[in-house]
Amino acid sequence: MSLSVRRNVTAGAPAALVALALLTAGCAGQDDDTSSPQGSSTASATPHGYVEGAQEAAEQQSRLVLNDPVTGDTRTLDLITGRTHETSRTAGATDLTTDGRFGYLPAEDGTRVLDTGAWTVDHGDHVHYYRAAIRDAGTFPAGPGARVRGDAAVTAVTGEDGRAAVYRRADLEQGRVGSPRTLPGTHAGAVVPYAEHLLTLTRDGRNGTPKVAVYDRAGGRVTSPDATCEDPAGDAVTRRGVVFGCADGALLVREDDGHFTAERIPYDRGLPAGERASSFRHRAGSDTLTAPAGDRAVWVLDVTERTWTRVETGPVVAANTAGEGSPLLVLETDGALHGYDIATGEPVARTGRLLTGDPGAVTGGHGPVIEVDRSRAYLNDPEGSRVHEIDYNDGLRVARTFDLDMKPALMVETGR
Amino acid sequence: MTTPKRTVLRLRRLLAALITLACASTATACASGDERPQVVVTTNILGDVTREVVGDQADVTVLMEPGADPHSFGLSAVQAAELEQADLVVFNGLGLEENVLRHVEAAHEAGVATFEAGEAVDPLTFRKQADGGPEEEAGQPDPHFWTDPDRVRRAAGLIAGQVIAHVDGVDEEAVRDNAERYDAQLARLTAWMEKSFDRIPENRRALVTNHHVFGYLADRFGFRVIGAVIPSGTTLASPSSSDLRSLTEAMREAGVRTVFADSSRPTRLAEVLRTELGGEVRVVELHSESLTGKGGGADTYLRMMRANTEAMTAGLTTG
Repeated sequence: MSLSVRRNVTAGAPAALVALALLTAGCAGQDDDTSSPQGSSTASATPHGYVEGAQEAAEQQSRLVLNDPVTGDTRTLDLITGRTHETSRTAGATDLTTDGRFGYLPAEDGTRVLDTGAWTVDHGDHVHYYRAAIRDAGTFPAGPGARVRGDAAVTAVTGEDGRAAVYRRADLEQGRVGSPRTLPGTHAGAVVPYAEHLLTLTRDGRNGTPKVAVYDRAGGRVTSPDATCEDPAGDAVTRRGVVFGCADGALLVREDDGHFTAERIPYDRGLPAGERASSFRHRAGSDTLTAPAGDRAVWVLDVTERTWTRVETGPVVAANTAGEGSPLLVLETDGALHGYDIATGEPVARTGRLLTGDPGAVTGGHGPVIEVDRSRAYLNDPEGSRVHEIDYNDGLRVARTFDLDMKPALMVETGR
Repeated sequence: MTTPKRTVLRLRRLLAALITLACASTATACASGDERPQVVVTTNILGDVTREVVGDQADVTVLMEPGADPHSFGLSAVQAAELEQADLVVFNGLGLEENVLRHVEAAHEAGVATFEAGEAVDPLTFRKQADGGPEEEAGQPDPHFWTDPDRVRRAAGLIAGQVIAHVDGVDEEAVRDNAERYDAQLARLTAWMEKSFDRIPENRRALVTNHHVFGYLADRFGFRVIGAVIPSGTTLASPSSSDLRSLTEAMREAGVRTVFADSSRPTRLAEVLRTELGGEVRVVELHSESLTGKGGGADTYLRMMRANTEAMTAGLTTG
C-alpha cells in the first residue's frame, strides 16, 4: 500500500513542480480574464443569485423615489421598513423614470442616476429579490427632456434633440455611468431596450413619418419591420412587446425567434389630437396599459387582446391599473381616487379626498401619479407632503399613509 | 511501514501548500495543478455527502457557497476551468443548478466523468400546483431529492462507486469504509426522523409552506404539502383578508397552526395571521436548498435534516 503511494509521489513530485512552474506562468498570462470575478460572472447570460454587496430577500423589496423639482429634495422611501432615506439634491428635474432599480432624473446639469438598491432578477420559473445600499451612480450628460429606458443589460438615453446613447447597466451597478455607445440616427421618441435589441422610431428626413427601426445592443441596424407611426407619443414595454402611441392607435412591436414584427392596434375611429393616448402607465409586467383620453375618460389598451376600451370617468388627473381583473384607478380633480370596472366601465369604489390643494392647478407633467405593483398602488400628494398606499383589491382601502418632510412632486416605484 | 507513508503524506501536503501559495500569489485560484485527485461537486449538500464518502482520498471542491441558491449560483472562469480538469464531477441535476449545468455538460464532453445524483435515485415528479407543487413545473422531475434521507443513502452509495471507478489513486477500501460508515449514519438519521415524526398525529402531518422542496420528505414520511403564497413585505404592513387568503385557506385545509415559510418579517406574519384566524400561529423557517456556513445550524446534511425534523415536529405537535 504505502509502496504504491510512494511511487506515486516520487513520480508525481517533479511533475507537480513542473506543473507549478507552468502554472505560475500560465496564470499570470490569464490575469485579465480571471482576476476579476465580477467580470467573469457578468459574462454569463443571466446574472446569478449571489451578488456582492447585496442581500437576497424573501420578498420583493419595494421602494419609492421621490423628488421635488423646486427645492431639489430627493428621498427614497423603503416600503418594507417605512423609513425614508435622504439623498443629495436634484433641482429642476423634468422627469423621473425607472427601469426597476435605478431612478433617472433629467435636469439642467445632466441626468442623475440614483441606485435605489432594490431590484428583482427573473430566472423564468423563479425570481430573486435583492436589497442593497442606496447610492448615487453618476450623471448622464443628457439634460432636461431626456428620456431614459432600460432593461437588464443596457440603459438607453434619448436626448431632447433625438440623439441617443446606450450605457451598460453593469457599469451603473458598479456605481458609475461608464462610457456610452452612440446610437446612429435621430429618434422621434424614446429608444426602448427590448429583447436584447433597441427599438426606436426614426425619421428619414425632417418631415417624414417616423418608421420603426431595430438596432442590436452594439448599435448595428438589424432587419426592421416596415411600419410607420405618425406623431408618436408614449411608449411601454409589456411581455407581449413594446407599444408605441401613434396618431391612429398603438403600434405593437414584438420579437419572435429573432425576428421583429409590427402590428397596428387602431382606434375604432379618428380622434382629435387631445383624445388619443399620448403617455402610457401600467404595472410593470402587465399587458394592460392606461392613458388619459382627453379630459373625462381613460383609454385601457389590452395588449393581449389587441383592444382599446374607453372608460368614461370624471375629470382625470392620473390613471393606472394592475390589470388582470383589478379595477382601473383614476385620480380625479376632486382629489379622490376612483375605481372602475374595466369590462363594464362602472364605478366600483372611491376613496375620500387624498390630495391636498387644487389638483387642477397642477401642470407641466408634474402632477400626482399612480404607481401600481402586484399588491398595492401608491399615490403622491405633493402639497400634503405625503404618499398614500392603496389596497386596490380591497375597495381602494388606504392601507398606509407616509408623511414626508418634502413635497413629492415626482414619484416612481423600484424593486422590480 | 507507517513511517514512509507519513513522510509521503507530509511531502504531498507541502507540495499542495506550495502550489496553493503560488496560485494565490498570482491572484488566481489555479488549483488544477494539484497532483491530488480532484472531485468537484456542484451543490453544498451533495458536497457534504461526497466529502463523507471520499474522506481524505481526494480533494473535494464544492462550487456552491453556503447559504446560496442552487438554482442561481454561477461559476467564475476559474471554477469552470476547475470543472474541466476534475477526475469526477458530482452534480444534482434534474435542472437544479441552472447556471452550472452547461459547464458540467462541457466537462462531460471534454471527457470528464460526471454523475447526476438526482437522475440516479428514482426521482419523483412535481405535483400539480393545486396539490402544493410549483406553478409551472407539474410533471417535471423534482430535483430536491435530498429531503428523503433514503435517497441520499442510495446517492452516497452510488457516489462511492463512481469515485472508485473514475478517480485514479484513491484507495478503494478506504472509500468503501467511509461509505459504509456514512450509510450507517444515514440509516440512523432515517430511523430517528421516523420516530420523531411518529409524535405528530396523523391528521396534523401537513406542511403549509412556500417551499417546493419537501415533496420527497412528504412522500417518504407521509406528510401532505399544502402550498401557500406568503404575503409580501409591503402587504404585511397593513394587510387585508384577501392578502392573506392563500395562507389562511391552506392552514384551514391542513388543520394546522404552523406555517413553514421564509419571510423577511416572520414575527409580523405570525401576528397578522393571529388577528385573522384567532388563536396561536407560528411561522417557522426551515433549511431548504442549501447548507449554512459553519455553526449556522445546518452546516452538514445530517445536521440540516435533524434541524428540520425538530422544527417540523415541534411546530406540529404543540399548540
